[in-house]
Amino acid sequence: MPTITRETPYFHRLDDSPPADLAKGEGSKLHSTYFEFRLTLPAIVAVAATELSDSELLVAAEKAGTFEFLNSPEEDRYNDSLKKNE
Amino acid sequence: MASVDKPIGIALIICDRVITDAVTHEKTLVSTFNQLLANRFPCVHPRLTLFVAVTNGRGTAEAEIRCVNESDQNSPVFGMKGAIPFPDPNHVVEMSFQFNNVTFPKPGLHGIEFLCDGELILQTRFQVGMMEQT
Repeated sequence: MPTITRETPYFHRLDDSPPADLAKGEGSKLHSTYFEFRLTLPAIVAVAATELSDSELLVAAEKAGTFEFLNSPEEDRYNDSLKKNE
Repeated sequence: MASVDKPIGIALIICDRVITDAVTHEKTLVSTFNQLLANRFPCVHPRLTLFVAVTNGRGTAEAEIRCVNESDQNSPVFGMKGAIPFPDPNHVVEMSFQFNNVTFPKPGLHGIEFLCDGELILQTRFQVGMMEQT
């Protein structure tokens, strides 16, 4: 069941100290320390280092249909402008 | 009832990273998760952070965090060891362990265990699985 509050939230501050001072532990109150550990592990999995040549990339892109749109008439503006100039 | 001398585990959370506010030093855990999917194995996960909070410790404890593949005879995947000081039993010690380039050799149910002086204090699990090909 959802809880609906009709009270306007009110935040009370004891003093105007900066938040960093208020966050510090006082006396016997609960306090904490924080440790941060970072470890970069060596990548064990071999990454494929074979680089495709330009012609291979072109063939792969054509086979994937990347350049198919260039064959459509509305995309052939360059040749159209050349024909008009002739 | 828990042993008087044994630390009490408060939290063990798996997330992407932990951000510390520069002014208040409050922590924000970003992108918590309990499942990882990969196209093939072994797979490399670029970053994984474990946030741990414990209390009720006395003196210095030899802490260890480790990840094992429970589906593969508890084979170790990664881990870290170190000493953590407890100034008093009410002190809360928070830690974040950031592991970069974690390699998971095989899929399966993985367990994260946090131990103090060889005793298991906290434990959680997460699934590493194969992504379904469409």
